[in-house]
Amino acid sequence: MLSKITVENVLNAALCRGGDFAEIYVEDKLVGNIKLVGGNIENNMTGRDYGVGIRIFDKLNAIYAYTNDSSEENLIKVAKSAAQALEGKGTARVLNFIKSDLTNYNPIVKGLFDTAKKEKVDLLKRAYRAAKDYDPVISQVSATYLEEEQKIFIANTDGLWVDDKRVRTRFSVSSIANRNGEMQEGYYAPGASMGFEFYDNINVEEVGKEASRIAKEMIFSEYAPSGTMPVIIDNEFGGVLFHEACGHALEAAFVSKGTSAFTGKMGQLVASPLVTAIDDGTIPNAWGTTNIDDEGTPTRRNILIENGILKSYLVDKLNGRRMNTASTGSSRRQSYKFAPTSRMNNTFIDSGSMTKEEIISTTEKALYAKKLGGGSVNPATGDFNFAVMEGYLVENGKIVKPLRGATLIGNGIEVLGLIDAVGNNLSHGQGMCGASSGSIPANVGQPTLRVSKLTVGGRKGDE
Amino acid sequence: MDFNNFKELVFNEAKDKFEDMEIFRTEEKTVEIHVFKGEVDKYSIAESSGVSFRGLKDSKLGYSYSEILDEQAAKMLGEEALDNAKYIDSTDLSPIFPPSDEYMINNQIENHINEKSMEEKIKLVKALEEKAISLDERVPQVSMCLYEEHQISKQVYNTKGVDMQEHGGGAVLYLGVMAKDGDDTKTGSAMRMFRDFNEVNIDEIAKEAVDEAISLLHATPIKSKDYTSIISGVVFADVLQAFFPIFSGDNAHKGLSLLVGKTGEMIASDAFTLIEDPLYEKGFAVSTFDDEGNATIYKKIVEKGKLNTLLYNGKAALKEGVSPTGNGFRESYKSPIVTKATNVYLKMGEKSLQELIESIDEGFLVTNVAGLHSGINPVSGDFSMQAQGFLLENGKKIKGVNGVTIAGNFFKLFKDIEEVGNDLKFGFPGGSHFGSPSIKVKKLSVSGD
Repeated sequence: MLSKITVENVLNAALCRGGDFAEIYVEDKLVGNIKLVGGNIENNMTGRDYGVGIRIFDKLNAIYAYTNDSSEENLIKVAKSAAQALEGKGTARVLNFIKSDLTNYNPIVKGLFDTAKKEKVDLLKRAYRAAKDYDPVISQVSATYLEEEQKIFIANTDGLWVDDKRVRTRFSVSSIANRNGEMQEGYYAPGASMGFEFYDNINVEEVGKEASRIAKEMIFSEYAPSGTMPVIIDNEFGGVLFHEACGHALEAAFVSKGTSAFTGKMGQLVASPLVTAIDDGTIPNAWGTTNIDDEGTPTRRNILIENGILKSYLVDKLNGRRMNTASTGSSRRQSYKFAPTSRMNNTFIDSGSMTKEEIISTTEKALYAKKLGGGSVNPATGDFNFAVMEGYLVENGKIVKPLRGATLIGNGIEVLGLIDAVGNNLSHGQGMCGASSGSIPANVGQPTLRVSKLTVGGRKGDE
Repeated sequence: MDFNNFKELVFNEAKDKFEDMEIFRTEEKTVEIHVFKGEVDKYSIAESSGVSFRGLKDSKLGYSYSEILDEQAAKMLGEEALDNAKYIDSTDLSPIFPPSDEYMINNQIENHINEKSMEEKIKLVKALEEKAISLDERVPQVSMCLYEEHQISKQVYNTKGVDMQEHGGGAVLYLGVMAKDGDDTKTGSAMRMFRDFNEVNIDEIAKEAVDEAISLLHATPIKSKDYTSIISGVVFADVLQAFFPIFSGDNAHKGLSLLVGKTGEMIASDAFTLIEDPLYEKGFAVSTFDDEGNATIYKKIVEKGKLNTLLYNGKAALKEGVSPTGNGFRESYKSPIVTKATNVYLKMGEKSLQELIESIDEGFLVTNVAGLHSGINPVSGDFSMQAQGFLLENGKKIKGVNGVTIAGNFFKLFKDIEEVGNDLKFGFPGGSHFGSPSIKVKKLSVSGD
């Protein structure tokens, strides 16, 4: 994307006032987005993002600047003005770049932008039809097709020189059920780091039906009860529990500053011994997989918690300096507009031994959260919340009736200790994770599991 | 390439392809300074811009955008928009409008943030951190202490004669602190938005954040039941923002808002008057025209509980046969036009927060919620959110409350508002900027012990 001499000049300009490390990140991204509402294609957008980010470290100080203008003259100007935040003196270095070879975890068969728009529009219309025809109670259906092809280039003063291409697509359907003046929504949105062959692997009609199934279940449901009770959380997107409750607090950005509940707990028992949690940036073609992180470090499989014992944090270069720890390949950013920091890729709780049926049948009374919505966490306190999109009441080992409108709240470390059953049916769901370095694609995952006690925020008083 | 040349080139390349065309552009400069333990641990400067194109072909609208302004991009914008327009289903009217008859004049809002040097700004953030950790030994460190400034300019041009340009911006100071006592950790925060450093008092910001964290130490859940409640202004402003899509005429048209057909009806208690004020002087979404070039309008969306109007962007207005209400905005130049507003706030009542507290025998004061992006559903109106605050007894704050949820239905909550305070506060500015005073509601379902 840029010549060696330009990169060298820009990095040297970045270190003109001292500083011990400089990095340049170039992004060129094609984006496509088609939206259908009520059977009609409503919006259809194509765009190109392009920009350059320059980062300077001076010990623990970090400076970041970005621009859309990638002429050498402007990049040197931007690098120098960023360097103004430092007060030292730099000397020009000769940089020996070594081009990194990558392992490609995301082989692409059919380019997204090589595929005719008509095929994409057909997917949306097929999904719409299946979702709308699912049941007369379904009053409205929206669907979105998203595609992106992100080319990145990273070089730094340690001699790194690497480029990569990330291809992703996601398909979402939202169905609304309408009955007696009430509306309920069902939503399903699978995605992958794949080309258009993704749509040979998934059936968009099934995606549409799933969204409508949830909306229908919920329109015929009662409000969830309030109070503390056992909660069974189903597999796939249920993994957002671990993502919110613990994943964020394991990010070095919080741990290194002492603003995480996990600071200083390495090697200690922080969860039930049934819990092994992993963040793996290398799962082939997964939504959160990248070959390298956004600092150019190869991604890897990091075991975070093994049989309840804290084994690793998620570490980026800057916070690694604060903690005297090497990067775990976990530094990510939404785009050149963000300085990267420690984030998750594909995070999940590993499979245990029980079947889902055993977990349910051995539970006297619980909320069964089949689908979770999003959530959030305060990493300093560990307090988290998330929404139950599809819930049921379990009584005497059986699923009794659907429940709506529940939120689950709790505290990260506490909840990890209260997991008393882990299923054998690990699967992954897709989400967008928002934090200080922007919104990034991330997988969450888990088998069906049970937490012995959580606060359920519903609307109906406890019976 | 210079933007004016680029614009000409795009229109020239595309002129035979479309009946009408529009170019929207934003240009932004931002500075961000984070301080941690007396050092600048993040300093970020940025200049960026983006161009969005809309073209109407056979009464179908295609979109495209680019962040790079070269000849290839100029060509690509027209070609992609044309290809995209082909697949748009039905719509027979052009949402590319001529200029509005009248625009408000923005002559009162000035930005003074450039009057301080970067060194002075860094010093200010360091002083804020220092002040915060000096106030109470239970607050040993900050979690975040930052300054951010934005200068943004927005331009809209179209082939119907719209040629509009506007500048805006401002600065934010944010402080987050951690209080620790034994095993208990709580956080507190405070934020100020301003356009003039003379308005900023760092002692006040530090005290507000520290007081919040300290007052929540050893907070506990309260018994699950319905409480007469006060929701603080900052919290209710965020809640209003999250539910605001219900006021979109476009959503109503598509059957995605329960307010469809409710114009002219009572949808809230008579204490509830919701105003959009595009030139509100303390607002950070000041604008005299929307992203389609239509004039923004001062309006009472809800007046004493009665829904006066929904909000319409160009396309939705045409579908409904009404005039656009100046509410066609984009999330960014990368996004299509949606329905959004400028500065929106709930009109103040008479009583202070203290007087509202004194009017309650047993109740819950909500000062913080989490999970707004997931715990609410604008379609159904249902919400269930994690909350913090204080238990009220006999007109006084008795103890800190943590680890509970509040739940209900927004449409019902509107009707349960008994009183509105006189302490209007604004939330964090996004594309829109929402404000609210504290509100007192008849009952709120709290789930805790």
